[in-house]
Amino acid sequence: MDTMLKILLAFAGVLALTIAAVVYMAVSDVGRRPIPETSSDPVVRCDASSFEGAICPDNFYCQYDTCVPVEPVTTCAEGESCRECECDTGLVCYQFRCTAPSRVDWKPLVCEEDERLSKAVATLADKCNKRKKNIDELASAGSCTPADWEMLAMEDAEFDLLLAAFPGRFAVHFPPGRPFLKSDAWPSPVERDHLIRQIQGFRGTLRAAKQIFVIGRASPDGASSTNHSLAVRRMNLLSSLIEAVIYEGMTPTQRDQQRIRIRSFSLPTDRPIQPKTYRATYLLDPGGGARVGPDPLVTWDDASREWFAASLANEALLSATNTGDWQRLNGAVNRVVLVIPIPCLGDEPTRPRQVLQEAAKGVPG
Amino acid sequence: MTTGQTSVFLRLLDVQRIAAAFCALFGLVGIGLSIHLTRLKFQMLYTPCKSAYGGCRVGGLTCDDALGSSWSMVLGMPISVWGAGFYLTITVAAAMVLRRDSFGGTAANLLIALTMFAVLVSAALAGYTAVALPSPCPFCMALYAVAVLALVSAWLAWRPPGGTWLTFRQMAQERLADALDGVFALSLVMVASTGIQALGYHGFRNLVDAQDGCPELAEDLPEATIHAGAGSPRAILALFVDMTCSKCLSEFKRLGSALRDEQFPVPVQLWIYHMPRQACDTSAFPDTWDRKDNDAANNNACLAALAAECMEKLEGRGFLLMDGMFALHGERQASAALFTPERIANRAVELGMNIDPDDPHNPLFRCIDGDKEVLERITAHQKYSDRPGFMPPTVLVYRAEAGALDLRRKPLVANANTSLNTILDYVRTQAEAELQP
Repeated sequence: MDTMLKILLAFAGVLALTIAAVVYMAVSDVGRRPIPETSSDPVVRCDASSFEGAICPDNFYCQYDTCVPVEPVTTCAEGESCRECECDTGLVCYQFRCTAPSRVDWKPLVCEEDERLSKAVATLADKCNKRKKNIDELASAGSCTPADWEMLAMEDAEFDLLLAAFPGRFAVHFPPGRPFLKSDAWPSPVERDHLIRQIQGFRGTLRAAKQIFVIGRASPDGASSTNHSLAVRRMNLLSSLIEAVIYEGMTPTQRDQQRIRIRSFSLPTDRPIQPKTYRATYLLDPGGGARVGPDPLVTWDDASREWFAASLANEALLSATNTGDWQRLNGAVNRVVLVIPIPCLGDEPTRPRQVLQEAAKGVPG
Repeated sequence: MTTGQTSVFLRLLDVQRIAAAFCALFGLVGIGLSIHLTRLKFQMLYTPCKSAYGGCRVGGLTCDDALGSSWSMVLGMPISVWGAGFYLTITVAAAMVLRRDSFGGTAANLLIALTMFAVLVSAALAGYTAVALPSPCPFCMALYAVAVLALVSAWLAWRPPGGTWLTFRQMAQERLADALDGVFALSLVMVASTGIQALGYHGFRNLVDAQDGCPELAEDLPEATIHAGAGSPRAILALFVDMTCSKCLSEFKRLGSALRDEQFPVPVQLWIYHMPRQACDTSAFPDTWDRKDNDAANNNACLAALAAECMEKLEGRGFLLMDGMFALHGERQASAALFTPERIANRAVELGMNIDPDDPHNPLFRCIDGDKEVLERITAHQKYSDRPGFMPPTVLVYRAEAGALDLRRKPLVANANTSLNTILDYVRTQAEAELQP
């Protein structure tokens, strides 16, 4: 017989044996877990249709007419993944990990109660989610970089309107050409204190924020590169002042354990914000009324504050877009850094409602 | 317009020649982009201090990953050199189509074959970029687009609507000699253009100094306490890092591995200097400090620097803690700080430090919160790196004398763009330098 034919026959034999082994394993009981011997345990009967009849011995429950053992539930300890198991009693599944409730970052109440804010957060989270690469992350407004936000803000003409939903937003204005690009002479200690005092009014909102947008704008006139540098310097200054306010009195470890992320980005000067839009978006409530709480108009001294307040309250001036006064106001309004404290990111779980508290609300008296 | 009218119109329009002209134009664009990429790669390799980090930056895209990848060099030359040669060949082939009946009328066939090859190579590179590289390179992507456009125009030049064309089968049967003539001529163009570029590329290497554009150092280095390496070094590498920066992680790993694997030609020590882009002592820097980076601050760059210095002070294991903290980059969560007191304390415990991470007054936290000496040292490092404008990471290669810096000789400066071979050369140069009496 030809050698090649012998080799082929040998291969065919091995193949046939392998197939036979696979078929045998598939149809036989080999490898199956043996069924535990239960014949020694007497079958306990029950009747699930009545309360009395449904009672079974400990660790058994009534299934139709038979008491069957309660199968142990696989639970996971703190820190373990809860994608495929339940968390131990007292733990909650948070960001795919079993976590003690005290360590869970629950959704702040304001984000639950304020529908407009809740929608804005969901929109931000959705926008951010579309730019993310990691599909394992939860939809959150906290995972985008400042560069992402800058792109999102530039792509979306309605971005300002979206930010108008965030309570506690404020706007810090700067004089022309300040801070200097090549010197640290501005702000003077007096001006710095003035700015700090006004920002301190927002300390509660800032401290409660999960992240803070610091958005730089610059006056539309002048060289765009200079304007950009000015915007960056203003953002740097303001993020330093915000940190000084938020972390006042804290040690470095206290500060860094609860650091609030500041995302600063600038918007191009070829898309300035109009004074009328600016007032409606940042200074007034979404409904059009005055805002409750500290004045969102922050400036470097009292005189400038009064000028801004008076100019922005002047309806005639806001509409006279071809006048020199309007141009001056437009430049001043855009020499601004907008500060938007974001109180929630969209991925926080809702705190479980206390049933008793809910019930108590319904009890008269 | 009827079908007949359309075909007359197309014939009058001479689609073939217009398409060939466009193809030549795309070829020229490809040459320009390739030469630009070669220039960036040359700067990265031979004048790293002149090269911007990221190689180039267009929006959020950088060339750094593409130019630094193993696929960026083919046979000892940047792939863009081969690209420029190839696009020149395409341009010449397109020009030949413009001249009627070049290579016996086979020029259009050769052009379509060349552009198809360009698209195939571009597709392979684009696939590699998508799978293996964190960031695509904008100029490379522009080149891929150029290849596709060149293919479309070459297709129109080969099979003009309403015109006749020569199939490849016909070419092989009837005009093989002409086609081979064309292949030979175009190969000559490719070989000559690549050869000239290769000569220029390697020739320029001898005309530049790797120290070109590196920052001038004005004063003596401040004190550093975290040292690693040989007991009696002949060279000292001062590594300036911000622990939140990913390039610093790569540099720390690269130099640490070289040290561990004894890749340096002489015994060396690595000294750690901190340059967190965040004011650790806010009273020492103005509020408008330009070097501040919100990403570094959001990830607690100062905390990491303070922890490393404190670990060195308390346990003599600052370098090890840095290694452990850099490892946290692998567990980065987008919405949480990279370094927190808790995460750092846990790392310290893993290294055998006997502290309770949950105790806010443990020795490590007490040092971080209140040790003025440590804070002043980090501030001195920051100020030293601030004036010449170091980018993290920066490496200063010093000559060493009796285990200390030999300040009589200027250090050589390297950064993340500098290749390890160049750093090894710097170490050898410094160690073997003859000092003037």
